[in-house]
Amino acid sequence: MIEHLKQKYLEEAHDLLLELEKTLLLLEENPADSEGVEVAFRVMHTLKGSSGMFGYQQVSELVHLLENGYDTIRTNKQAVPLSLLELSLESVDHIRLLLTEDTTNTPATEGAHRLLLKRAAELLYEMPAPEDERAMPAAPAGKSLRTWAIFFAPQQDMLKNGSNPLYLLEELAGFGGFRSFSCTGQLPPLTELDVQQCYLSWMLLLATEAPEGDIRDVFMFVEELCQLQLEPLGEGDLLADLKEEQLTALADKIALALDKESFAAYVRELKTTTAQVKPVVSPETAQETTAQLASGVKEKSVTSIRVASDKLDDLMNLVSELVANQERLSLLAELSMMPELAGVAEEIEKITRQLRDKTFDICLVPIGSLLTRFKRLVRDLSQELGKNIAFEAEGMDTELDKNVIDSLSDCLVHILRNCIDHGLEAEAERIAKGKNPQGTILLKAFNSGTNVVIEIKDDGRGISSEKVRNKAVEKGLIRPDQVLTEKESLELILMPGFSTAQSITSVSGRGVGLDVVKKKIKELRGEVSIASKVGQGATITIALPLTISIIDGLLVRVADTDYVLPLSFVEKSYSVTPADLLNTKNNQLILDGEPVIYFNLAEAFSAGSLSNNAFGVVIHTGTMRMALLVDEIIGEYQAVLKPLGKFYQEQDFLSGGSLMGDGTVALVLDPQKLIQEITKNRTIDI
Amino acid sequence: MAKSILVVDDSETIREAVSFTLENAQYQVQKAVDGEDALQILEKGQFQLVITDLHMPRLDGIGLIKAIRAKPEHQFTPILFLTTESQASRKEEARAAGATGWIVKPFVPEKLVGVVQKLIR
Repeated sequence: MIEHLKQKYLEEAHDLLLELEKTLLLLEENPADSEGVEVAFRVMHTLKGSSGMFGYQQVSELVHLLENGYDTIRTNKQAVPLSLLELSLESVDHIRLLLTEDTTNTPATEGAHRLLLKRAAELLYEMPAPEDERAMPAAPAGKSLRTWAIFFAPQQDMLKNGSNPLYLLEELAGFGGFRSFSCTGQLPPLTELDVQQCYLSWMLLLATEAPEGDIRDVFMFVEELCQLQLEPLGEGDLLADLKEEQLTALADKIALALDKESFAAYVRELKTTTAQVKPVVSPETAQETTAQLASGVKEKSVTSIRVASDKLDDLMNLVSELVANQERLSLLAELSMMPELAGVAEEIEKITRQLRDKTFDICLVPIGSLLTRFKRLVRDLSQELGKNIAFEAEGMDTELDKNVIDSLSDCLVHILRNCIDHGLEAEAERIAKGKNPQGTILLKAFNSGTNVVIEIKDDGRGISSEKVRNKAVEKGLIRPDQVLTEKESLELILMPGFSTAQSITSVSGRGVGLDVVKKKIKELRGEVSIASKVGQGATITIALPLTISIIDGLLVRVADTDYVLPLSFVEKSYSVTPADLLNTKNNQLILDGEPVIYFNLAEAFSAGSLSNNAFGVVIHTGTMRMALLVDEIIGEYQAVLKPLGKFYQEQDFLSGGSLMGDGTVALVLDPQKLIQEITKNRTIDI
Repeated sequence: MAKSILVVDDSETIREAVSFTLENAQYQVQKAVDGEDALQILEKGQFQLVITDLHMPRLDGIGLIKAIRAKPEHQFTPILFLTTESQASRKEEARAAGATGWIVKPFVPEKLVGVVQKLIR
């Protein structure tokens, strides 16, 4: 049970740290942002509380010190000193470490911890103590003078817990203009009076700039021991405007008041009296409150729940299983010739499809969820390397499967590191080149067809294809005489064993190259490509499929084997006979009056010759169209993708396998790779 | 004459922090390490306010509050207890035992003095 709660705490703590980090980075851009300070303070406060509770005393003590700092800033309405932001960010990292190390720390962590504590203490010592808000000469904007009516009726035995109502009244009097009227209606005759009881209640008028919360705080210890009612009478100091005789008349009436009801009646009366003096609420304030109300409503309507990610994985697996079995049911229903069964199967198919789509949707996470991590990275690295870098992000609400996001994160970090370390020049060098002294990295994500495209673009040195090529030759990655296009040369840097860095730096040169990125993206069935202009910068583009586990496909048969073509690539199907192929040139078929390159799958997979009534399925990728010749088209099919065994690892044009209803395996083709493969080997025969 | 406050806490850090703050605000402070210790010290002197932790060995805060309230001379003595936000239920318990108010740990010195001033002048 405790373990379970602790897990929850850790989740919460990590979320809080992320929020804190995000806020700190925003504050760094705008240190005077009072809202940011407020958020930082609140987050720290929560973190401190829960950390103490779960035995993370070190987290608690560190956060406590920092929180005090932000509290001071908050109260004094100062800008956050950069030194404090720096320390806070370091503390965030340190706390993450503390959380992973559980409650037993290594000596190194211990040392780092003491050092942070010391620095925090020193920093706090230098900061001015919070000033008393009330003592501040001018009221800051947004705070307004208001007059309040307060009804305060202690329970008769309030004195018994050590409270003294008179002290509370004195405290209130310190808030501003103050009038008190005693309600003496409950005083017993002198002979029956018990000196240990409190018989009086009070009606108070208070003109103050203090917010309602501060007024209520005065009564915090006696909340449950009294009746307390607080009502705004109007803006401004109405006490000054009320005439003495009006007040006296009121006091006389109030003296007999016993309860809330009569208090309400007096407030109404006072309001009408004061309304003649001043409008109760000015139109501007009225508008403001409406706006606040509206935004409040909007905030409340967005609700979400937290679900452990392995639960989502389970759900996804179940849906996959369901889809596979539903496909099997549909096939069986078709064979059974039972119209009723076919109806049920169709209905189940419809529901399964919806369930599948919803489940996909649940598992989608916006790329923006990684943004804080990237911002932090850029910030830290650019400081470390002394470069001036602006980081911009676009399309951060683009969504991807959460598993893809998880794997993607490391890749992007790697690319960003490369950009900052190798791509972007130091400020002096940029100035010498006549460039904007500040380098820019743009992270951009968008949807393109069934892909999500992520671009990382910098305006640095760029990559010289010639240099890359020379290096690749030097490393023995290509033959000196090998002919490569500009793009192919550039993409050599994605090969294992390639690194263009002049020297190994701590930032991106630990012998791990961009080939790791390529490998990871490939595992996600994605593509990496590079474009660059020397002197102007480089763009690395990653294209990823939206989801990785289920695809809508067209089931086709070549010889005895079933293949799945992702439906999103399929354009049209034509009937093709072997006779059609007899008089073709350059492997081109004329379909609908247009020449289309065809590819005979049966031939390619050594599966014999084409059947007599075959089909040409026209597939298209961004730039290419191609007809794949197959023996049979079976129909639409939802393929649950499973990875293939090691014998297929080298087969790029296969995305995976899918288990069919009858237990056989259908191979899922990757049209993009297939077209690449074919066009690469095709020799033009004139 | 300066007002006297009894500070009760088993943690030396907190005890010293509270005492230091109050002494700076011109109060006289005596310290006790737990409930039992506090009751003995109360016998020997006059105090206008007691500030106590809730978790202590031997006699804990709740027990101490009840014991103080049971003494006729301390029927109306204000008692503050130290708490954290996460201890809402303990707060209720302490109030029921007769505590006057509370101070949320951790606190800034200004806040501590502010709360004390609510109860004694």
